[in-house]
Amino acid sequence: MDDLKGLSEIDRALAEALDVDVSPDFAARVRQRIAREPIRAPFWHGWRLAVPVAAAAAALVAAGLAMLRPQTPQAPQMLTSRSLAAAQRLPLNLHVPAPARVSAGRALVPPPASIATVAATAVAEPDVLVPREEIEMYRRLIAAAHRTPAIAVDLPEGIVADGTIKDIAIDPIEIEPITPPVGGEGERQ
Amino acid sequence: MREWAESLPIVTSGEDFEREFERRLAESSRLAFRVAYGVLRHREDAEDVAQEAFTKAYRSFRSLRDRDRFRAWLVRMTWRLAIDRVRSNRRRAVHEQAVEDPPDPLTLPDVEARDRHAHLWAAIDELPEALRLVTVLAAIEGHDMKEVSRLLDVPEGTIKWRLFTARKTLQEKLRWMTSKG
Repeated sequence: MDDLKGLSEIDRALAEALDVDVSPDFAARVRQRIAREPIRAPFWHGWRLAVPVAAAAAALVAAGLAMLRPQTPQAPQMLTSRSLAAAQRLPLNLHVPAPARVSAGRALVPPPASIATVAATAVAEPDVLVPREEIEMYRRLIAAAHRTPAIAVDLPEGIVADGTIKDIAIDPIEIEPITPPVGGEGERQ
Repeated sequence: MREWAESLPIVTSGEDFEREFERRLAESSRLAFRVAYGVLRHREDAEDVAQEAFTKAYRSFRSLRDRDRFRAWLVRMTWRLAIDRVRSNRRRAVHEQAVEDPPDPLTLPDVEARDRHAHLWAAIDELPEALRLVTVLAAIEGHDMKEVSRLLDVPEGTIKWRLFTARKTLQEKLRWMTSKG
């Protein structure tokens, strides 16, 4: 009974404490406040602007990076598929036949008459296929070969006489048996 | 009176929208103010918070799908704003190093009544938030369990239990007051 009385006392006190009324101009102030506050756009309006701006910025960055990136030289092509670029620099008045083949499967250095054609085809290929130093080296080698007179070497008389090589005598090899040490194998010393 | 919300048509724009909001403002302003007052116990602050809640409600009113739940939404919003205000007031008080009890706006007739109110609010403030909200809502306008349950979107059984626990705690803390009265 006392409990109920106590509860009702508390309820009464609480109701009394909360029995306050809003001021008469409350609604007017709310309206004023609504009118004063700027209308905020919904969040997706921000995205509508942000997405194209971000895309444009990304494109600009990508373009900038592409321009700043150093031009990496092309990897040299395989030797089998390249032509000797030095050929186009060879003097046109060469009369000595060029070496038949530079290497197996490699493009041939054409005779002087067709040098112009080779040069024409070389233009169509990538700019530098062979390093300059290598080209220079080949050029000097070829030029030196042309300058050096041919050396005549006499062949052995037998070959000259009948054109064949006689049998070569080889002394038989003698194999001596190995003599075991004194005392025999396995015997303790 | 409790079923007012169901009778209102849902409108989305123009004059009808304004009229509907005006109607809701008129019907729920006292509720919002009292909820705020239950936390702040300061008339100006409570009015300010209630106005802020209505301003937010106005902004979100068009997107509020279930407008029957407007009052529940408003109560929760006001309560949350009031709690935030209390915290910011406390921070400000600490910052300014001028910790003073908020002035009691109610011009109570005598010292004893003022003392009783102060103790009652102190006891309510010590309750956990969920119990405090139920206690305040039940004391406002004589809301019954069903109405409190609707306002908080919590099952009626839970409300009953919370209210019972809150009242029991208050009774123990304010025993001196009840035995004297």
